Amino acid sequence: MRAMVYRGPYKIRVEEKDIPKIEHPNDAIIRVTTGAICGSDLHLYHGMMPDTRVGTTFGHEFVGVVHQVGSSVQNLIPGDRVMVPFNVYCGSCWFCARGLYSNCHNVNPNATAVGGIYGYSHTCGGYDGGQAEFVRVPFADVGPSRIPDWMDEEDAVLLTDALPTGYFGAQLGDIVEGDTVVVFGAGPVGLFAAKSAWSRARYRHRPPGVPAGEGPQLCPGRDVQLRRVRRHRGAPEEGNRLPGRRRRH
Amino acid sequence: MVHLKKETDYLGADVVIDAVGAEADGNFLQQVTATKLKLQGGSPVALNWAIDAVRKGGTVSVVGAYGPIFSAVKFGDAVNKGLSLRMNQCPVKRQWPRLFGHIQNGYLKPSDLVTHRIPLEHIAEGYHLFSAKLDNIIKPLIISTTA
Repeated sequence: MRAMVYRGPYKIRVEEKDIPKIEHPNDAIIRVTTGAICGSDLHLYHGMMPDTRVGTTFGHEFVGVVHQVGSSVQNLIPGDRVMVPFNVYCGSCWFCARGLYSNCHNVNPNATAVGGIYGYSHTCGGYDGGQAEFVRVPFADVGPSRIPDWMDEEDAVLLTDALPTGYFGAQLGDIVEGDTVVVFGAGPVGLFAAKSAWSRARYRHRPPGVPAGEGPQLCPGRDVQLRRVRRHRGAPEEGNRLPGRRRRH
Repeated sequence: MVHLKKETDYLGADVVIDAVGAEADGNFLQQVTATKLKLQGGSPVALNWAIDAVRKGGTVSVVGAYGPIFSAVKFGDAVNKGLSLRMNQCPVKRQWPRLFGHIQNGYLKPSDLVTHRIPLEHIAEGYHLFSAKLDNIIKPLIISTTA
């Protein structure tokens, strides 16, 4: 198969690699149809992440079709269209039981510090990633989900990391109505965080030059952020409240 | 930063989200020690801005990626301001049910941010574009050759 291979900082090639094999009965091999480069892949590309070994394949955002399943896999059959969250996790340890999937204890020799992530150096478990034609997905009954029929494949790719991470950022902020929220970073995650924050709070501050009543607006950290955020203006304010949102006041 | 403080009666925002992570620019010393000399787990410029920008007792939410070793964070300021620092790698599957709902009712359309669709064979070019922020790139997708 063809796969992206890391050859050193700023050096990336597409090379011929063996198609990954089932190594455990609960593995699945996914044929990747769409992947993505994440901003955090650039840290690897720049050689920022310790223990990024030459020869590894990056890519933790990917969707694809199930190619092969191990003998104990019950939830997937070959041919299923699946989206795979970027976390590798067992689903049964103390941490997974508490929903801390990104802190799973069974997927990384270095698990007291980091969980498992596809294609994110041996610091994060040494799993090969999805910027390839095929990828091995461990714990295939736990991580991957079938893509609903109504969902676009490109939406599904962004649901494997960027969108949930932005949403999570807004969630961690415990935003309530009336809060002022500032987002640093106007990449996909930052933009999704801003958009998610709107669904949780009403904005009372406007950047200079924007007349009152122009709709929700963020305080710009930098000009570029303001410009990008503006694209999303006009989203209906009502009807987007999260169901069951806890109110502090 | 000054504008931000003015807008908030010189107090700061209630919540600040750091979605930048380890390679933040804006402070020469931090940039060099972190990304060039690898003395830090990441250059915490955005995180320090976040700590400055939030009001006392506010919340800083970190979803940017940082490396595993120490970084020069203004921790004293965070303590003295009584901040809540909340952070984790996102447990993706926990978010899916809600996000599926948001996408289905049309509030979120994530693929709007996709600017580039790059074939797997040309992925090196994609990394270069994305890394150098050329061509107004926001989000590149990789289209597999078998698709």
